[in-house]
Amino acid sequence: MTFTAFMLGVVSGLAFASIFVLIALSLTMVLAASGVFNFAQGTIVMGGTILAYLFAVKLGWTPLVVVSVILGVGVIAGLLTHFLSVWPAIGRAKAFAHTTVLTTIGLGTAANAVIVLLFGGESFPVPSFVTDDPVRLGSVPIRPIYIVMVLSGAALTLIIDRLIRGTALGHMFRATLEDPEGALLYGIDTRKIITLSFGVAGALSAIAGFLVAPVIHASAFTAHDLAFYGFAGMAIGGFGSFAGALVGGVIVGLIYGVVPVVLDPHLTVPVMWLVVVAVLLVRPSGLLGTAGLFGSARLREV
Amino acid sequence: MAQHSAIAARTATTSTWIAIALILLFASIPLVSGGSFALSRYIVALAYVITAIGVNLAMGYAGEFVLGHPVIIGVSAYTAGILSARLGWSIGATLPCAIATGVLAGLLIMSPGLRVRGWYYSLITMFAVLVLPPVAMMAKPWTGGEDGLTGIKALTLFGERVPDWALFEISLLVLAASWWLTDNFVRSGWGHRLRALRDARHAAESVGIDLTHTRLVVYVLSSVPAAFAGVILAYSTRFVGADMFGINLMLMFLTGVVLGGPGTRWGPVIGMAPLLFLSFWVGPFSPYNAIGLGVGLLVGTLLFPDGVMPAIADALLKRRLRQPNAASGGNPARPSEIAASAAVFGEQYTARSGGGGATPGGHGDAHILRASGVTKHFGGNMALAGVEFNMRRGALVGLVGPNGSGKSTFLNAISGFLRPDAGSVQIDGRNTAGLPVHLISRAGIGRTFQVPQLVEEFTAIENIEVGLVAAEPHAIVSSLLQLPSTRERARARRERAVAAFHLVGLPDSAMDIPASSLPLGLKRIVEVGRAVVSAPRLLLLDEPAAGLNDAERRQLGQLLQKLRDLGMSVLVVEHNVPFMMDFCEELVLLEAGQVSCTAMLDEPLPERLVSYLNYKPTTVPASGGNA
Repeated sequence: MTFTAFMLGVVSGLAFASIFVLIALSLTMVLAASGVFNFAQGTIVMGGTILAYLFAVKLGWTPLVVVSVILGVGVIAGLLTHFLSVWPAIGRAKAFAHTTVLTTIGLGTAANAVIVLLFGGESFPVPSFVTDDPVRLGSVPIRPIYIVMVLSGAALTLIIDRLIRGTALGHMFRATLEDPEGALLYGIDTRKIITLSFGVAGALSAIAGFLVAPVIHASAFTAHDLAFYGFAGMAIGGFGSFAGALVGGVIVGLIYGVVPVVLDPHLTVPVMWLVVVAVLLVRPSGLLGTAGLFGSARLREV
Repeated sequence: MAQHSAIAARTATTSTWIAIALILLFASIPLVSGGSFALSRYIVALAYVITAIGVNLAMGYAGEFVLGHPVIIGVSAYTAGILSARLGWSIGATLPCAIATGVLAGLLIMSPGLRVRGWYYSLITMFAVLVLPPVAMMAKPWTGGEDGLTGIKALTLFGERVPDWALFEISLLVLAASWWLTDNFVRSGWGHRLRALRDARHAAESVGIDLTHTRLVVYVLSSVPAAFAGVILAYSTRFVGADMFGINLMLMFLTGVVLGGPGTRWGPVIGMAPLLFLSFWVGPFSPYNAIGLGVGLLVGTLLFPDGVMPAIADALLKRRLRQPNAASGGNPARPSEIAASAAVFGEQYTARSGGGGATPGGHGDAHILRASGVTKHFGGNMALAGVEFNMRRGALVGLVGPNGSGKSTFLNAISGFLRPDAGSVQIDGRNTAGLPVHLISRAGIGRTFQVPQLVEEFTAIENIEVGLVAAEPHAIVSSLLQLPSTRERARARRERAVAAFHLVGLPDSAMDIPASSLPLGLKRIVEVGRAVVSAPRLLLLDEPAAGLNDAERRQLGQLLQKLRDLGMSVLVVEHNVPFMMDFCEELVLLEAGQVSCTAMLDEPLPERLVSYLNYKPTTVPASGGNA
């Protein structure tokens, strides 16, 4: 293995990292606002890759139209997840977090299978929307789509961060993330905020699917893997912490890029699983997580 | 009084007979069913139900939500297949190896459960299912990679080839054995440990149950059926492919157990049946199968949060209980009964605490508890700032102090739930600072909690029995087989629990109803029963009188004095001043994390305590409200 090969792994790893960060962020956002781990998030990402193929290749729409339609579909998918699998469980279930993991696993799996029925089981290449001629950085050739992925991923993360820190809505959102019951006492309609978080997370996940489609192709069978990478990023980085989602996403991306080059492509998932287990055995709340969930003083056991 | 348990016992016997009848019915399938193809599909179904029984043990009874069982089946099936196809080993050698590797895989997958909890843990074990296929691809020379493993030799026993119908009967036998052994296990003392681990973790630790050890036992026992299923699959289909052990199989176990009713004896069987039919009808790899499983899980979880079986059982039980005299109201235990049980209990108590009893000096030390310089920080907040406190053996001491003065923190520090930053704690002459909770408990501490921690589905008696199981030998094999020694232990346990039940003065009507339907006051008393049944030398009570009415409070106070008279040292944290003044013999005032004053109640109270209590014996009635 040469240095160039290794650096290629690092570069593609960073490109994937920006996508995994987006998935981890959408998981974190929903988890923080509502205490739900939304397993169906992986399905929404996979749906994004398939819509990218249908709209851009089959229908030949321009990238801007494709992006806006996918954003809209993502919001709808997020809201559907909420109203089908989470909303009915509110106030009904003894262990809400636990019940919603089951319902979102059920919904996600059923939705995956429906997509297989509609779209078929094949995998279709999706052309990138930029040139495929590599840019050279020293001896390392870099695919331009990787640059697009990193830039868009970083931009989206920044936008989310600004929105949450800078606007009044963002403040309500953060109050809900920190302490839902406290927010309720301040007169914030936390149910609306929770619904909103599902919508925003859905859009974020769908756009992540759109961005990653050119490198993983459009296939109905990627949802579980994508959910796993997002979960791994969140678990390694730390519960509900946005910085944690960033760090975890990057670590997962690097494992994803480097392990196939250094060891064996088949070892990517096993190594990642072992890393997650090792991190959690040493630090059950992840690298940047605190003992109380989401950095709040309140201990919410999950 | 014993109506509930009588019905439960009758139902259990009936359902055992139904199980036997069903097994016999299924055993006759090969007589009527044609074709080895149909038979081999039935064998697959049996293997899945066998696995579901193991899943139910971990998920239902022990509350460890593990989803990685397809990996265990896969590892075991590959082991058996590879040893047979590549090395030509016979079943006598492949079976133990496959079980061993399967159980090891199970331990690896479930090990995060020792640190991580809740759905986080479920997802880690679930994503383990994604790990097996790529590993199988890498080991292509052994596993056959994408093509799968072929060439597994037909099963032979005693030099004879085993026909398909016999393999079916063997699988059915394994199923019956798994069901029976699991059922025995959860009805032994281990059932108490498992359910306490699930519903009342802190209480389990506080009565001396080693949670880590209990979890490891659960992980192994839950893996064994899946490992057997793997061997059955390998010899039945004589082919092993990585896609046989995917997410859909995981989903089938999850949906089956959740739908059927986790923690019930019939749940896994009832829950798996419709899913197996669906899978046969549309094919295991069909999207319709996944849709059915997914929708089943989504709708089933919302409609039957506890599963189908508990819903049915509830309906049946309600109908039968709606007979006259069913609810006999609260008739408290008769005084003579209490006296008798106190005598029984006192005997056990002196026997257990090595003849120490009320007389000081088990270890030549007049103090049961010596705490010195105990300090605990939470961030910048100093909850305990060097507590100096010695407690006389056989005393009934009240710990008072304003909110946030560190009373509960102090109880948690001596019972081990919090590790003190500095200082020493000696219980009965043993240094216990820094020991895990269950070991401190075994040094002779019993305690209750502010919010009662009970196994909700257990009756009061069974909850009290939880306090006894930690001291029993593990006897896993005996529990699985329900040997006479296990029955003998169960009898002794019940006897002592009943004595403690009467001793703490629980009404007879509370004996046989699930703890979930007891009022808060009785739940607290059940907790006291669980704490004292193992005859601890030191009893810690955290706000036992909160939420009790005057009569209940007086009973509680008399109970504490009775326990003291039996030789127990009792330390009670409580806000209710009249309660403390009436029943304690010594008060300790904790302020800002330090003991600021100690006073015997038969002497004039020091100024400081009086100003805190604001207690004027002449003007406040003995049964006054909260201070």
